Amino acid sequence: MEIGTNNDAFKNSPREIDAELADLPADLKAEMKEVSRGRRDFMKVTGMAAMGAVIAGCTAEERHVKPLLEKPEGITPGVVYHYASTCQGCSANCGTLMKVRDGRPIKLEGNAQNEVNGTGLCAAGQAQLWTLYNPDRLHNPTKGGETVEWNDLDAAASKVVGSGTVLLTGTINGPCANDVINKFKAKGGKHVAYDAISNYSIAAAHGKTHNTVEIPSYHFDKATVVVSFDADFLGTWINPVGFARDWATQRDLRDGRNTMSRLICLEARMSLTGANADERHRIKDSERGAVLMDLAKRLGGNFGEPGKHSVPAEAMAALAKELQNAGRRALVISGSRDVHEQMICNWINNKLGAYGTTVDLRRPSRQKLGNDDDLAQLLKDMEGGKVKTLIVWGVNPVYDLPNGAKFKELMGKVENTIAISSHADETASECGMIAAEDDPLEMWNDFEPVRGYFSLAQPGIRRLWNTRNGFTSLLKWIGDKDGNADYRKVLKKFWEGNLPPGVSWSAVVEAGASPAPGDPTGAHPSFNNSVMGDIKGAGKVDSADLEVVTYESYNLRDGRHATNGWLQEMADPMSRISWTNIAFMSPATMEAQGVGEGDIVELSVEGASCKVPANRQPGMADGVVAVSLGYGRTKAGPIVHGRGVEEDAVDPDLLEEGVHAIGGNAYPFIGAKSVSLSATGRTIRLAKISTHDSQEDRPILKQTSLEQWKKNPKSGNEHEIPPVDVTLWPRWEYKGHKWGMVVDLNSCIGCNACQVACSIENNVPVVGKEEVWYRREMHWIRIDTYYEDNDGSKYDGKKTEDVNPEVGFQPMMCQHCENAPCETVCPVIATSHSDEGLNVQAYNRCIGTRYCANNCPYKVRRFNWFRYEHHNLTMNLVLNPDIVVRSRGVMEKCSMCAQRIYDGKREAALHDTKIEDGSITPACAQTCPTDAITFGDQNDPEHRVAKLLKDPRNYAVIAEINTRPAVTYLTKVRNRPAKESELKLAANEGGHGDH
Amino acid sequence: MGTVYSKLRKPLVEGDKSLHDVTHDVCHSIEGKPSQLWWLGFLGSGLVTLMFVAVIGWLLYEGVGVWGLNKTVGWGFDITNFVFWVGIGHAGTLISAVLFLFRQKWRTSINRSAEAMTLFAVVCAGLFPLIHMGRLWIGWLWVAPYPNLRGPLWVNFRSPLLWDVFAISTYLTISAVFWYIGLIPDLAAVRDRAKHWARKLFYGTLSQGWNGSVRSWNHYETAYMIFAGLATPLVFSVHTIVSFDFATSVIPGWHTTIFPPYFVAGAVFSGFGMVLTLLLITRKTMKLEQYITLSHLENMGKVIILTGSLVGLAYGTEFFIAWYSGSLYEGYAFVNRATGPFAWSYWIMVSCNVLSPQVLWFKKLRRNPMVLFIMSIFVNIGMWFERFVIIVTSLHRDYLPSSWSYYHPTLIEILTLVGSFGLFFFLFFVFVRLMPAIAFGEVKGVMKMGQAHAVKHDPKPAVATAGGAEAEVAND
Repeated sequence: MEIGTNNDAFKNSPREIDAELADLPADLKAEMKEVSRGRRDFMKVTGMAAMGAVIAGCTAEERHVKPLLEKPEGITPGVVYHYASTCQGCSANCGTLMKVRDGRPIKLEGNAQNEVNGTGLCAAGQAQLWTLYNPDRLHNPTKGGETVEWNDLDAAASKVVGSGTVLLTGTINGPCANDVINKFKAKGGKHVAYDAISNYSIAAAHGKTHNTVEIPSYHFDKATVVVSFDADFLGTWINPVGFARDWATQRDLRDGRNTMSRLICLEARMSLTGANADERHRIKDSERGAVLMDLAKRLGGNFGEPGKHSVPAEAMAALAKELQNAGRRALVISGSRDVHEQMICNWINNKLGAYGTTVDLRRPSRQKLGNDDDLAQLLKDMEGGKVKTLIVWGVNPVYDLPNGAKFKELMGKVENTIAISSHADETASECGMIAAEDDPLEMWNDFEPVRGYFSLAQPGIRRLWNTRNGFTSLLKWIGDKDGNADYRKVLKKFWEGNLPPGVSWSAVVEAGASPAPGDPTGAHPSFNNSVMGDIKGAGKVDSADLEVVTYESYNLRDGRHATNGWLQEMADPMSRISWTNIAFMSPATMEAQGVGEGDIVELSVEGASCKVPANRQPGMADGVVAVSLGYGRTKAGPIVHGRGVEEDAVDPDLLEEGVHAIGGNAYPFIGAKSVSLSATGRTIRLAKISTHDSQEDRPILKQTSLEQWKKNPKSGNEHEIPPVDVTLWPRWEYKGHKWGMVVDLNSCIGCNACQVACSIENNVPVVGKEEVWYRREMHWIRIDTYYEDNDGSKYDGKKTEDVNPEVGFQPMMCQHCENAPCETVCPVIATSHSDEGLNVQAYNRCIGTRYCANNCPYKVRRFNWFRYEHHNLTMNLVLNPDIVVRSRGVMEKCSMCAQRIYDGKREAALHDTKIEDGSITPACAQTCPTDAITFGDQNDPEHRVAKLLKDPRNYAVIAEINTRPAVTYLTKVRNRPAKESELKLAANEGGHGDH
Repeated sequence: MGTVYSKLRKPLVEGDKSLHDVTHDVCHSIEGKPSQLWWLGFLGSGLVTLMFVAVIGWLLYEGVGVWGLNKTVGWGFDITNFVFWVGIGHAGTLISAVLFLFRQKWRTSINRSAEAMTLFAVVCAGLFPLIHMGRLWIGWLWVAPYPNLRGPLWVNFRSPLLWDVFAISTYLTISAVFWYIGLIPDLAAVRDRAKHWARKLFYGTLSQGWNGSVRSWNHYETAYMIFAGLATPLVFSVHTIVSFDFATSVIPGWHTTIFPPYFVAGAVFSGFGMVLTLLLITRKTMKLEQYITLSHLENMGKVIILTGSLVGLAYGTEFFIAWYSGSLYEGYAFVNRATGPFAWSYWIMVSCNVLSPQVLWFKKLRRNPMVLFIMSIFVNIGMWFERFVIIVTSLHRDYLPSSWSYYHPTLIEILTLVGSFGLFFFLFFVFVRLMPAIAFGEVKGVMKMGQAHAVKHDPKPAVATAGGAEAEVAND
């Protein structure tokens, strides 16, 4: 791997060369214009374009292929370069490495050197590439809906920007970025920042309890007991990748570790964090204050009488005791938007002594700087006509404010509205001018995710269209001379002036971030007990018959990824549903409301309503309906209608109903408590990636409790069936390498990052909603979600014991069996065994009988039912050139990233070294935030994989059919008392253990 | 050479036919103007065949995705139809070869159309493995072990699908040759009766200079016997190999050692069901009631109740073994068959295949063409569903519940099934118009038994027309 800098200070710099190579899309653009987007036409045109590319001499259009006479310094065509940057998929600011080949970013990965996230990157972060190449982005600046030249737009904007101008943005935390904002403010402008998914209550609470309006940094790696009140820190909360990584370090039982932290969740819906909890209680949001108050009371804080809530007193007492025992290694967090509840949280953490250990204000998080009070003030100002010019930059308030419709109305009262946006989204399309902005992967930027830790974003590609960095636009409009300079130069100048001695600009660019500031020192801000008198009312339970819970979507996050096919088609981790928003209810609530699966229900609160299909979600509190935010975008391009491929596939009926494939917009429900639900009488088919949520008592996802595991490390895996040596065909011999994987089910949190990473790495197509409904999604790796009764009996989702089930996640990909059932049945040997233990698929040889897929006991093979291609030629720029794009009629499946194995082998051969452990990492293992997947050479005893194979927890799924998979699993260990069924299994061990 | 005539035996041909009558009756239908009924059938099935071509064209243009298959259920109507049609093809060979070797003379009236049926059924069957391929345009060639210069590019002899290729193509070849050899004497008779030069040329070419000499008959009989001997093992091998597609897999519900005999019995069962359907139609529309008599129908009914019971036994055995094996997955697969989301198809299968043939225990019903016709339709439906049940219900819920799914066949799939029937009947209508539908050369050989009692006519010596056959009969 080479880490380079995208620095065009030099002549013939990589930047410029990249630009040359990136001319490809420009060529394609002319062609694209003629492409009507019907699939049929598209197929024709693609076919023709492909032909044209092959026999260029026959095309009417003259094209030139210019050889590079001088090899540019630092870049070789066809060779991969990695550039460090910062992810802008959400506000966490994870560090990324952009894999750039021939001037095109083709993969994003976590940057191991980065403090925020390390090597992991979540699904949304990975999937940003889709947005980069998405042709539905704005290509030119517009004024009054007409395309204009930048000069015209700047002239018009310069006239109106100045005093009385309000700049509305999301969180802006970069030092240079803030410098630009300050320059704007100096010209009389006002800056308002808000977060669509706000965590302002945490900052506000700390403003009261610690006199500092900040969101602290949380250290899950230091916590032995984590109690989460609706804070989905493994899924979407503030900094999910970093949190998951830290949390998993305390859950890992590999490599000789034998302690685990405890995770206790109290929540209304079933979150990803709740699914990973050792203990989970279902509480309605209205009870949360009371439960917190009760907990505080049990810890010695009497701020008022807690209302009656549903958590049993014994459980509360045990919880309090557990927290007390953990002391400063405990951590209590809450996702509540209520400041008083957050203050109780702070009090508990302070009481336990957690401040300074697991939660720290000395180096606070800067990932969410939105200020809800400022936003409220802005709305008032707009109402009062005090805002002359409004610049909306990078946010979409018309869509994502609870009162978005009102905001849209108020925009009418503002004289001039300007959007700096890369999409003509709900807000930008209402603005008089749109300064088309670069995609985050096309521009320079800087960030400060944690105080004192600064990171950089650099472009991975020359801008595809006539767009511009928003900073440049802003600087131009306020008449700053920097507006005429490339923003890279502005950034560089600023950073060079502020870098600590001994740190060079190029070193920072190479690493993607400034040197880590190290652990904070000095006294921690002290807790101000006097404010706790104000929160008496927080313990009151004011419940409604049907409460609504809104949460950030795992797929589309705050809605910015609505245009993203990879994320739309990703399965929701809990329900495995893709392509739509869902009104989730517990099975009992579904029944009480009289709605069935897929029934479209209308949810209404005062002043707003939306139509969403309903679905059951085991584990939810009764009397609660949960809808995710981020769906229901109306101006996000054709993809939101469910098919990335066909524009004409919009079901007009659904549009009319307001039920887009993307589901309804739940933002208006933020802050609402009571909701009314009515069935519309319409039912739609849900695009589920998996429809069965019980493992039917089959030993597929094996689990045990920590207590049992300590007694017997083979616990949960007692009935492992060793492979037999009798086979019909001769056994394979692996003289050299024998590649294999071990998946630690204890570490897997079910976040789907691996699935999206795999799809991007391996050019796996997006097939659209209807095809997913047909169960034809193409994912090479999937996460199987299994629900299980708490009493250990068979889960069927109906019994009363099923109301709060345990959840397990199991990544499932090609198991690369030694005795592969697929290999023997292919009539033409299109799938065969490599001498390194890989089950390889020769696409060119495949004739598509699908026999292999039928005979696969793991059902991991995927067939190209149609010709799937990206719906536009620019989208094809995202394709990994190392992987062939499969044609219709052929089977495909996980190759363990064969291309990466070849790369690794070649590297080792070049340097004449052996393949070191960890030098080859498939995309799934690479991106896993919790390091659940280990890849390596089973034949090399030094490789971690070989060691993990000997772990007593290791087992192969359905080993009894003697497939001898190269992918094995480590049992899931839950940190809770053993269940009766588990004890029974352990007791039977002598009888059945060694068959 | 004493000829034994049993008084107890009912004549195999009724109505005191002379040998000339036989030739005339059979040839008349291909010499005169076709009836309206024939035109109706010909055009009707022709239209359905065109529709078949269209849906296959659409399939090839768009991709296998036009069917309702998915990642879990990779085979549905396609392979169901394949196994169904292969099964249908079984009765023809059984009737013409096995019954021939066992000297079952009643076969003579029905063996020609049964053989033709076999041939057309195998044609229909062979289409499905071809069109079910994702890439037919290369697949049809690549499954053949042709020599090439591309190193290890060779077929996989471990794959049951490849065994299928050989089994089906062998079966098709043998069936076609066997059918054609049996046709030669009759074609010669048609040639001799032909007036128009084109007919003379057509049938003359096809009959390959047959002159009816003893020497010719001798060769003919020998060849016929050899081919009957060759075809007989195929009755067992073809469906055994087809069953290997499933039996050698690891999927619960497929991975079953009972499959070879179970499939063969099922194939004979379904084949006889279809023969019965066709003969009942033929004897009615072509007025051949005196050749295809109630005794023929009754005999076939007996075969059906036998094989139907075998199939029923197999269903029971499968359940027993699934329970007895103690295998979690196997056990579930069968419980799921009877009670799962596809239980409807399972119970259609059981009612059609096990319950409906029970009417055949009663002689009166066995000899009632209407009852037989209805029952035969049920058997056809039931046997189609048997294959559907085996293929789809086993696949849709196998090992990992996360991948369990349902299978929703599309209209295209249903039309493809209908279309294959169109092709089958289309070929059959063409056949009955061009070729003698009854092997009258052989029929004549078995007529004497009836003639012992029928003294009205003084028949010409049979030796002149069907000497070989007579000799054989006499030796019996």
